[in-house]
Amino acid sequence: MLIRTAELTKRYEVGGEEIYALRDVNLSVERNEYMAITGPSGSGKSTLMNLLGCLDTPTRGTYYLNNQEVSQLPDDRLAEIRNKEIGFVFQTFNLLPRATALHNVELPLVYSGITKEERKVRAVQALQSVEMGDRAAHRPNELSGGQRQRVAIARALVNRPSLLLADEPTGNLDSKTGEEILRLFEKLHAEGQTILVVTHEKKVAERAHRVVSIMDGRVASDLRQKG
Amino acid sequence: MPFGEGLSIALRALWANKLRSILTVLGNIIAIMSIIAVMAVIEGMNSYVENKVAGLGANVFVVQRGPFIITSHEELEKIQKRRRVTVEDLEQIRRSVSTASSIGAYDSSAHKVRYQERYVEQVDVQGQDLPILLPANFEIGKGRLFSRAEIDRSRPLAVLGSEVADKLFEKADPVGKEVRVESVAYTVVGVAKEQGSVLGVSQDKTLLMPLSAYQKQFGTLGSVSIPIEARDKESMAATKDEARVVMRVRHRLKPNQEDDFALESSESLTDFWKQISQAIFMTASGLVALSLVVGGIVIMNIMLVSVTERTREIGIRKALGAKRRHVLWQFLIESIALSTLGGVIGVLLGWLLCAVIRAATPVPASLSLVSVALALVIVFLVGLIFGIYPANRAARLDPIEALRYE
Repeated sequence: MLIRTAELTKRYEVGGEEIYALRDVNLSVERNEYMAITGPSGSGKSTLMNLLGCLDTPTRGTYYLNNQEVSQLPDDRLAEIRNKEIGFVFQTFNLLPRATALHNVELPLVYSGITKEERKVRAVQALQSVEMGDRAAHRPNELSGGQRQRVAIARALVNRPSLLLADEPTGNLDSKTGEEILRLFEKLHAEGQTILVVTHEKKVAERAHRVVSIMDGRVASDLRQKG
Repeated sequence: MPFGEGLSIALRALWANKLRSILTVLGNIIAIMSIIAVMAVIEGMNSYVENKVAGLGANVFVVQRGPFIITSHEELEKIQKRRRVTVEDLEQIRRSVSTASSIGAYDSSAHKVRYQERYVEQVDVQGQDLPILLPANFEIGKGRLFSRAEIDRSRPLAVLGSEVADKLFEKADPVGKEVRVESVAYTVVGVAKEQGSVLGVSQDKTLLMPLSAYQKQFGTLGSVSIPIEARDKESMAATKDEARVVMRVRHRLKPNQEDDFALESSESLTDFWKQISQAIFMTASGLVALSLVVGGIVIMNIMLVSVTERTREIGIRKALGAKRRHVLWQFLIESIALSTLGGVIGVLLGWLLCAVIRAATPVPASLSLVSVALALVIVFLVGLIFGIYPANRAARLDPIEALRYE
């Protein structure tokens, strides 16, 4: 079991009123699952993603990631977990504009204290695995959207995380390029990578083997399809 | 995060905003430039004072009408009303001051010196009574100095300073020639070695003659100075006391009356200079501190802008695993690098300013390594102190908010 949450709840107070962004979510994800979280905007799927990505802590409930309870850890411990366990892929790529593709991919390794030489070797490998080996020296503004997302995926994978967490990964791409990225995900999944895609696009969600839909902060359905 | 990584991020960020970076550190540039220049001038003045002290020689003090340094018009008037120090005083001191190793005397005034058609105005004509010659680093370059016997017989002999010799004789040998001081003729017996100039005043525009000959021409109305050399440093005070007693007796001073003459030694020069240089230094430090504080606040302000501009970058870094201290150090290093950049530019400009001062004024401004090191330590600290607040703000950013920032 890679992920197990119990009664995961996130509550905000807005103007004295309590708003539940997420309420009693129980979710389990096995290793090497390819899962989509879907739901309309305001459903709480972004909150769930932030909690699963250890960017935020829940108001209540427990979250075991890789058999470690992470729901109430301090900031710096969460940073460590994000660094080692989670690879993020964002809708807007979120590459550092002034840094080369290579340097962008090296970033997670910088924060895990890996030596310069090893960083370079591993970053080059990661770029090659997404077929961007020949673009290592390019800056993001010299790359197409699809290429940028590939670099971002290389960055997400470079520290060999347990979980690849993708937030609307095809949202800023045309359908052809989006299709390429989805095929890349399938390839990574076939290689054993656990992938969690957060999306409101039905076509993207359907590519996953399991679709969890969120509605009003609760799990509305949990469907397994294909294998 | 290793330091090298932080530094390279910082330098890239500064390079991306070249103009802004330079404008931000203007305060630092000016402050450091000033501190470098002021310290260089003080250093230069130090060497001037040292030179003056060396000119007086070790263990020497001078009996004369007033102090070396007169700081007000009132003081000058008071001194001009005092009794002159005379050759008779010199004789008495020679007879009575038993602990002195040697005693001399001199008087000087500015005159026109001629040789045939050529002349030099405003030559420092000095009447000297051996054996002490001031300045102590005076040396004969050609010919000889006049002797005791020649002084006693008031012989009209002259030793030329190198500048006077060059101007009057060009390349010819002046020894044996006859020069005129105003209208009186003197035979040149020697030429002094070049001594250079101190604070723009040439030490070589001089003419030395026996004090007796000087007084024969210019009269005895001037007050002479009597340099007295003590045997060693320890006996200096005792010798001074002896000379003071002689002068007080000659001037018939009552015990409660102040000295109406001065006993000056190198200490009076260095003490005076210490006061002045301290005052300059304190004033300059105050101004520099003020502009550094202003400069630091500007740096802090720009760093806050930089943190805001790069909120998204901070979010990305945090999502990828940057801890608070990573972000903190990244921005602290950037602020220190920015401040130090200003310091380095300030040092370079200060160095340039020194060169200009040296070329345009007689002050021998010289850049010292100590002031450069001090300047760099100061800007480092300014960057560190004023970087803490913005860096801390960056470090505390919430990654979700930061990632959402447009």
